[in-house]
Amino acid sequence: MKCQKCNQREATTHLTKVINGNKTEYHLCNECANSSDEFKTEFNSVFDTDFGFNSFFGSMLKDFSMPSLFGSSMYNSLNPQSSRVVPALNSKCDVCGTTFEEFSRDGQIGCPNCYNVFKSRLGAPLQKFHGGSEHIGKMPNSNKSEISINKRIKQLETELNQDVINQNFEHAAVLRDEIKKLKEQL
Amino acid sequence: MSENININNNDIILTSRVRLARNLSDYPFVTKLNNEQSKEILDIFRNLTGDIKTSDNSKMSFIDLSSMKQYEKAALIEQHILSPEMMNENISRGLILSQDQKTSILINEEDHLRIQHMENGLNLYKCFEIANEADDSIESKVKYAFDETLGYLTCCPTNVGTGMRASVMLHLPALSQTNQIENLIHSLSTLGIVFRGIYGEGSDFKGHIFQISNQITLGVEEKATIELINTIALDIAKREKECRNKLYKANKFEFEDRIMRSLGIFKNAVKMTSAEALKLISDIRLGASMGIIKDIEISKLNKLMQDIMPASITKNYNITDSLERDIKRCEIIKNII
Repeated sequence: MKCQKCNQREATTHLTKVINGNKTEYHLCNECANSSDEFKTEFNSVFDTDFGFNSFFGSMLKDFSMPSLFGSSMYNSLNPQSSRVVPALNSKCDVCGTTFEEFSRDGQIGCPNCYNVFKSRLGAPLQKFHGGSEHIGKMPNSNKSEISINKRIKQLETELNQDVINQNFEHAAVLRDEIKKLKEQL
Repeated sequence: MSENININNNDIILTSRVRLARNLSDYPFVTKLNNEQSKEILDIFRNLTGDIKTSDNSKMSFIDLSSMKQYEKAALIEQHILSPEMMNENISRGLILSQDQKTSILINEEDHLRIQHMENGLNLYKCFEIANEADDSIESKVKYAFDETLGYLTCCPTNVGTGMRASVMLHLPALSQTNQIENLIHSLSTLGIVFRGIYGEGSDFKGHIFQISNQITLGVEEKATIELINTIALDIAKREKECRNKLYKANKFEFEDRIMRSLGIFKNAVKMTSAEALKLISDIRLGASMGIIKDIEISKLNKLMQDIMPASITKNYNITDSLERDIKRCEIIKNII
């Protein structure tokens, strides 16, 4: 039997609906059954979906990453380097081609690289949504050593700056060598 | 005043679940995958299936969803294993499932991987432990998309960070019937917790089954999130118990009459829709947990809640006609009760 909707593929889904004694039969192929509301309401589903967060987040992207916010202290504290380099609204990810407009419409990002491209526009909405802006949970083992080296370098650089201010050049030289060694490990 | 009836937490808390969202670093996210890439990802995990290890030593099997019929997938949705998204056949999707079906890994859902573990009752710690082990064993073989500041990168930034969603399913007939759900939804949202009805929308909470889960994934550790959901689940269960006892004491005969009438219909009806069955199971579950119905185990009712769903009946008995299904539903009930 052919699918009664597309009249092309073989019907694999058969559904009978009785409303107030009126019987309607459906014979659909897999594809048409998927797109059929009749089928979907019959199998009304149950799952821990993300509750439409995606579209909410899309709206937040529009609202909270507007240029007017870039001067605010909250935004700057989140993205110290980013207040100068803000991608334009028509900016595009060079890996997957996702535009900021698409991203803010769907609330879904295209690929891992998009996070770098849109980073400066993401800070405030992420802070607003999660209440935090930095990951503190689990990390892949393979990233652990690299991340801990980066953290150590940042820590030493802060100490080194302090030494320079205090004119403690002897200690600063020791730190400089240590940072150099750590950078070679990366 | 008579004493409070003792109600078991697990009579209120049906299941716990922890889900981890993960993506491969070298592929676009699922929304941007072409068919070829989705096939490649499917193959990567097909070949990895044997390497996925958990402490409960579950044996994992790989299923290419294109080999399944739509109603078979729908039945897995009713068992809370697949999400509706997985019915969509625009790209290649897959499922890695443990023998006891408690551990499941969805391939090419919203993210490349959704690693989840489910347990009966309140047991989020175990859920996390097992999902985490599965995650470790996969991570040793592939490179995840991970950023030092943002954590695990996900298709939707609302999951970025831990990529973890911890959830608990609760049966709350007393709170629901006394219209306290709206207040709960509101006050829990201020704690970053999502509270929602499982069956039906708006205020028509069929079966009075609800789910709580964390909204926040960035800037919080997994353990802290699990502790939070665990505490809130116990708190809601306590409120539900108090509310049940209050309702019972306020009008014992009204309360018992309603439950026994529901039992009468449930046992004797000839045809029944799944919506009606869920409503009746809710009453009977309430009665069984309070000792008003003595000869029906809660675990049987939990199983029935899945067995009476439309796609499950279609799959188990090869029935596609909805009237036939309504008749079959009553036979299934009579066999179990």
